Amino acid sequence: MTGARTAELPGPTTAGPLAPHHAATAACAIPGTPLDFAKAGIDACVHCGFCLQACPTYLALADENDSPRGRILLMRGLVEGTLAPDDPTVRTHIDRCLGCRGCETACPSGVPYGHLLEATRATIPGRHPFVARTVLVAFRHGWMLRPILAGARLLRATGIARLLSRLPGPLGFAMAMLDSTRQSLPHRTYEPAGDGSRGRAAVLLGCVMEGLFGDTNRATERVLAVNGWAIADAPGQRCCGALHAHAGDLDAARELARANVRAFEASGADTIAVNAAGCGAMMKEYGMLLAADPEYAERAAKVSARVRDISELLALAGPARGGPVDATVTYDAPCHLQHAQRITAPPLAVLAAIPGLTLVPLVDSDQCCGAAGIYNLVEPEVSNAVLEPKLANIERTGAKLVATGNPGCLMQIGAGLQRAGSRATTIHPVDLLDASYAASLPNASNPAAR
Amino acid sequence: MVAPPERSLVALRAPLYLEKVSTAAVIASLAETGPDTRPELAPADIASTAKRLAAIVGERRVLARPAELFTYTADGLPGYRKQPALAVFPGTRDEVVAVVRALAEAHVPFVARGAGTGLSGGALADHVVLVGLQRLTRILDVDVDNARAVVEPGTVNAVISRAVVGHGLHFAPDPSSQAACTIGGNVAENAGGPHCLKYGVTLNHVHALTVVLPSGEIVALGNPAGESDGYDLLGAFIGSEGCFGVVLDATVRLSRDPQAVRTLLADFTDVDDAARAVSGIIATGIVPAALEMMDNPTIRAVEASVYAAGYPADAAAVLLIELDGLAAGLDTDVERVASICRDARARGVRIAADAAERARLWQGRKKAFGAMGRVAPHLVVQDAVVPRTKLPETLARIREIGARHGVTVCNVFHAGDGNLHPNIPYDASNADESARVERAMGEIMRACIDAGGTITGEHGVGLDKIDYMPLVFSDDSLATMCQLRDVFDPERRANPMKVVPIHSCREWGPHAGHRRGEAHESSGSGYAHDDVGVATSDAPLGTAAGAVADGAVAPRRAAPAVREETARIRDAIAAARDAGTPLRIAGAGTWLDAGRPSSATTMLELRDDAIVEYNPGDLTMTARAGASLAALGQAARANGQFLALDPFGGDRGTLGATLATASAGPLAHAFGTPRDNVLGVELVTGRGLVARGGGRVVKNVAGFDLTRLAIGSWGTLGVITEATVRLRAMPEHDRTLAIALAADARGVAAALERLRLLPLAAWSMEVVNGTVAAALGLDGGRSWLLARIAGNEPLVRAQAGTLAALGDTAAVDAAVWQRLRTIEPADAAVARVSTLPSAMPALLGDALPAGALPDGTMVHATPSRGVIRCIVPHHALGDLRHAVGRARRHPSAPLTWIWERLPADQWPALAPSPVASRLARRTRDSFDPAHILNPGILGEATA
Repeated sequence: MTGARTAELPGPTTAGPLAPHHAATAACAIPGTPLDFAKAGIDACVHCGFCLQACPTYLALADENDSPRGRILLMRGLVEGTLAPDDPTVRTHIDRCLGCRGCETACPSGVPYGHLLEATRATIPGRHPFVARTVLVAFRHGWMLRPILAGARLLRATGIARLLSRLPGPLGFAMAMLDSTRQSLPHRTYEPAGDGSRGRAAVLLGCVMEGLFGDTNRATERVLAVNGWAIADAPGQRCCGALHAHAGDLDAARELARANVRAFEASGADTIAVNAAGCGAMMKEYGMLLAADPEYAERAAKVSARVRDISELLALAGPARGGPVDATVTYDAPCHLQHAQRITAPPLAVLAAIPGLTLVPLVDSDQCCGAAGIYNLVEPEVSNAVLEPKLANIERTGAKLVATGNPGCLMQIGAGLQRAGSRATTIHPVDLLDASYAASLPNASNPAAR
Repeated sequence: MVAPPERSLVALRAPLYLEKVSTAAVIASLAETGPDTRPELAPADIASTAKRLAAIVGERRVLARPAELFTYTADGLPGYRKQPALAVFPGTRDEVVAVVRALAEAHVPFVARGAGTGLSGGALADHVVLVGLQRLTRILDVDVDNARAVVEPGTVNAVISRAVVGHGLHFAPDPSSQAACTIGGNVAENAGGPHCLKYGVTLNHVHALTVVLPSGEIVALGNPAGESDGYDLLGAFIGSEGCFGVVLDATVRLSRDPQAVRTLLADFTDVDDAARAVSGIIATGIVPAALEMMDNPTIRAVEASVYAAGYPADAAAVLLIELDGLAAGLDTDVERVASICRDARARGVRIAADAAERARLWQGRKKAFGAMGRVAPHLVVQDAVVPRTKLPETLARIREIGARHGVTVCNVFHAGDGNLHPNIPYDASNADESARVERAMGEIMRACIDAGGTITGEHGVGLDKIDYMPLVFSDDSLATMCQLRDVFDPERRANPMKVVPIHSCREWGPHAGHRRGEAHESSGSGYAHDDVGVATSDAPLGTAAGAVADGAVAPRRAAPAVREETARIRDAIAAARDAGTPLRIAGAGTWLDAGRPSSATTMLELRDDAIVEYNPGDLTMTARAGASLAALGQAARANGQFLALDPFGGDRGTLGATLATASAGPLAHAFGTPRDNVLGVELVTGRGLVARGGGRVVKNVAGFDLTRLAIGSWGTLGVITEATVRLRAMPEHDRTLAIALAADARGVAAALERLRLLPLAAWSMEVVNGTVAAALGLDGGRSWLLARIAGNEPLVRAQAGTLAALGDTAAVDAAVWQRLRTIEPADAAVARVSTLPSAMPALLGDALPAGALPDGTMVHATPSRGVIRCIVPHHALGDLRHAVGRARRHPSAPLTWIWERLPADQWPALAPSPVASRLARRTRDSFDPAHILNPGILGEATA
């Protein structure tokens, strides 16, 4: 029986999941859409269902429509034409996805789920509530964002946020999120003694990080310096575009990406340090985001290749040991660090290097906290359902500090803890390391949690 | 194409539990409705049904729009899509029952679904109601002491193990989908997994189920705290693929974590060498915990994925071997296995150095199916089993078939039990490739059946393999399976059109075949085939069902030739039915005094005692029921093997009698009871049908489990005429030790408590009282523990040392076991009391010491199984009722009494019939409607 030998198997050095022979050759019902271009990824799914137990929305809602496999089937339905792009079912369940990409870690076939989700959202934009849309617009334009964040800081400093956080419903929760951004440990600034021998590092200042966690950004610069990096400025940097990409506004994401590519190229830094997991994941994918842009494709890929999460850099350098910090800490892994960037051990290495710190393991630390960008504004019910088991697990650790390296998570968990009346608060791992370095200075007092 | 149904099933009569309608009447009424039509929820009734269900579970939990149901159109196999009419998701046990009852009232068919990870299309609802159980995830109880847990059906397999990991326990059945699949699904498919080679399948790990029948009746199957008596309806239910009812909760058996584990990876440059290594390992008597093989295409797919495990990418095949057990002697076995691999020309043998490496090696195997998804857009997978000795030639044939059709077959499978999973990645949008894949799959299946195998080892028949059923089962077997289904679901509303192509039992038989797209025409081959043929007419390309329909596999019925004696038995039963003469199945006349007296006086003998087939290389033996256990043992011993059936009560017993009475002996401690050692039976039912259940291979889930049903049925459902049993290899060393126990109750209990915690892997562990001891030639002044330890030298030595800590040990002749089996006097009364193992020390503490029971009473027990056997001499029978009454008030766990022998007049007072339940009576009525087989032997009320 003659016939072309089909389905040639890859050798060990094959390309990724979107190798040419995967291209879905069947006609697409939604030609020209972002999902049409991404549809080859759908074919990698073998329906095994391993992703179900890794999906926070499936665990919370117990409907396969709210599972990665189910959502992939919905995408397939769109591509095949079985489902219409404006079908409310499709929209509801695609909207409900947290984008945590925990399914990618569980998937044996390497389905590029995050990529498919963004393409689908770009194809059928969700109807976001006004607040969410405002947030996206604000983040896109620095001149809008800065006064908004300044106002937020005012609410925080005056204690109004604290007061309003007692209100029920999403407004109260948002105020609790804002209030939780107050630093858990007092920051002592110090002059970092470092020789810059590891090269120049430019720090992504970010939007929420610089606006509400400014002290953490300064701490980031200091700990990098202590561990041997010289800090380079990268003026002209913008929002990383993650929120826009996740929401399906790929045009906005690309515009922001281009601006950042230019800014970080100009900085002359060998390394781009990012202390927000969501932003780091986004920047590492700039190459793919701009792959179709002839002017920026290669430049973006080069910039992406230099992006590192702060924990990666610190783990690489040790990190250097400082003074004791007397605290009981539990670590929660941000989805965009462990699933999107596949970084699991470095943050624990950073915490383990702090003398006097008791690290208690957190059950299900690999499950999403429900923040997911602006998800907690868009899907407050599900976000809360996902947050609840996380809070319960934190409670069981008895830790006073919950360390996590992403602002969304810091605020989501922080707000949840506060409204649950817990005495625990959230903290960025970098802040703990910074406090450790501060404590090693003469006349330092042992920093205790507030 | 078949015309749409003229009337829906609403026309059927009311469910059995509401009305006293006999099974026979229902079956007759089904025949009256004419040619079967595809059961469905009529479109006109969808809205009202949805409303009724929403009233039970809430509106949010009922899905009715096609867009919402789209996700539920497929299970683990992407090739099949069936649209449900509705989907309902009950959240509690009460809601499940209410939903089932609501559907029963409206006569609506339904399909239960767990996580939808099945690989046979079993969870697909074709225009009927889908009942999703994924919300029932609670672990209701964990009994660490007795290593059992009660869980809801939606509990994920891996979650059970995770919940008990801190106690050194785990749930043994480990299908590759265990991270997602649910217990309800495992029960429905009788799921296996790599570790089932040593530890068994789901059937061996479920103590009891609470089930709601499609009629809405709730029944308890099995016994959560002791032995089960009566028909093994639990065994029949496990593997029934959702066709018998819905599980409400399962009492599962947990296993102790092994003391030590070693994982090896051997790579070969020739697949045949790997297959030879497999046979070599099995032949030594070493039972690996897992023995998996992957061929080159699979290895390359895995190594190209993110789960790369370090398999050599140029190896023709790799074997992933895991050995576990007591640490002592494990490395000896590891060395032995490694050298067997090297002798079979393994290029390299690597032993995992630590837990991380072990995890990585397994990762590659567990994610192999998913890794295949990276190779091409679509995938078909099969699940055939062949006898182990046929592996090399079958693999060669598969290679040849693949080459001839120009498709790549990736083999990943459980080599230890011959369970193959040929996977073919392809692109379904390429019509030519699809056709070639379809033909290749059909030929592969045919090759496996020809090699003496079966069509499904663990994935189930479902939808995917329904058309292969007639190739492995005769019309009589399929009809009998229908009759079993009718016991549980006479309206055929639970998972309709799956497993057995059902028409109506009475109409089952050869009739016109059906080719896709063409009108009815006779195939001329006598190919028995379901008229509606939903599996064939809608079978997507590239599926097994499609292959058969397309004529890629020439339809061929399973050989119906029967042996002379089977024909004689069949004719005798038919004659007895006509004449209304009940029969006493006498077999070889060896155990006529067992059980209750039967009112039948006409004896039916079984004289054929031949060994029909014995493949030492496969460790399986097929023998006629009249063969004595002694003869079978002798034949096995000549090949260094043995049969682990050693029932108490004598060695003269035949295979048939042993199975019919489900009698167990000392070896049950390690090897289980008859139901755990039989692979298949031939059963001539009370209707005169010659049915076969199971097969001749060690792993088989094809069809409903007639084998389990036959075992322990005491001849009231049919005459077992033949059985295939699994054998085991004799060990290097085999020692029996006798350890003296204290004389007082407290001392005995304390010793037995200590015994429970000792790390041992004994073959038998029996506790005997002084009376028994004296009969065995030991000091009759105390109780004794008899332990049989076997295996390699270090293992035996270590265990002997461990046992010595309990008390004075003395080596005794192995003949003591034989004597133990035959000590009971002919006129004694014999009873078994069973309970939870944790209650045994205290109970035995009370029962063993001298004077605890009437003088001369013999007591022996298998503490691990929670079974105590009491042999009461004739002169003490007067006290019997008193003693039993006293024991029944014993303050401990629940006691289950099973009587083996009693004076005729004592039965009614002491022993209620174990088949008095409605379900048991329906079983009897279905298999032997005229009640001519052994009437009265189980104490059932004669109709």
